[in-house]
Amino acid sequence: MLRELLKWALQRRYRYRVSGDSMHPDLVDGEVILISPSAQVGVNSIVVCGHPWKQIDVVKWVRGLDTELIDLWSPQGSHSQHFGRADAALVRGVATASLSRRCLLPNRPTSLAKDTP
Amino acid sequence: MALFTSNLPVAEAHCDGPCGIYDPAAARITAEAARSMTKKMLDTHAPAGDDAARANYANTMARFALIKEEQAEATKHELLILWTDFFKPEHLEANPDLHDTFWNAAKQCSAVKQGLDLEACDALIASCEKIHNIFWGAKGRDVNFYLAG
Repeated sequence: MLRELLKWALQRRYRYRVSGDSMHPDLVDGEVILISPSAQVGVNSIVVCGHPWKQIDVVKWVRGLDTELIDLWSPQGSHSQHFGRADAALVRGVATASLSRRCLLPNRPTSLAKDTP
Repeated sequence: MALFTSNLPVAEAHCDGPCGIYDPAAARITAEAARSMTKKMLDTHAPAGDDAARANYANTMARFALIKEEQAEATKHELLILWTDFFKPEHLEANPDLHDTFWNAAKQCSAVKQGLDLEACDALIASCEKIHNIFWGAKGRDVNFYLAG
């Protein structure tokens, strides 16, 4: 976590405020997170990404990806099965840590096991 | 802390907004799409030709299966929105089997995903019709159910 704070101080991390509870329990409403614009996006990354057709940024898990499109997912609320896959160019960065809770973020969804049919 | 976070860019993690617009047609359309893909998969047969033909067949079936999975999941999502957001306790009084109807419909969505079962698809569409009738009955409107396919 100290490394993340240092990278934030060096402006290699940027802050976003989470609005809403669709990423509960891994992220909660009002939580401030750090994102890395240069980190490699992979399956089970948490990313801040532009919505495919709304003028907003969303925070979601990455469920799948190829060279151009990213399949976004969250335990609740809307995700790629509802609004489609997002262009990889819309990714603002990979969420690395929670500034509010002063901890690194998990590398897989806590609720994944119980949500898999 | 609020002083330092109030102007941060926002990453939205909202659930569906309270627009108040509901229509069971959304579930019916995706259920029909899932049935269509099920039928296409049952009607598509493995070629006896060369490697290219078999590869093309595998690619086609994979695409059909992906679309079927997505459409059945979308159907479940649309049904759950109706169940949890539109219907209220007074609707349950008028339709005592409301919870069973949605519970069964959600399970039928899973059955459509899991196999290539046209009977399961038809059962899901029948559930969509039942929910259509309950929904428009609750709104006091007479709206005919129809299929696009």
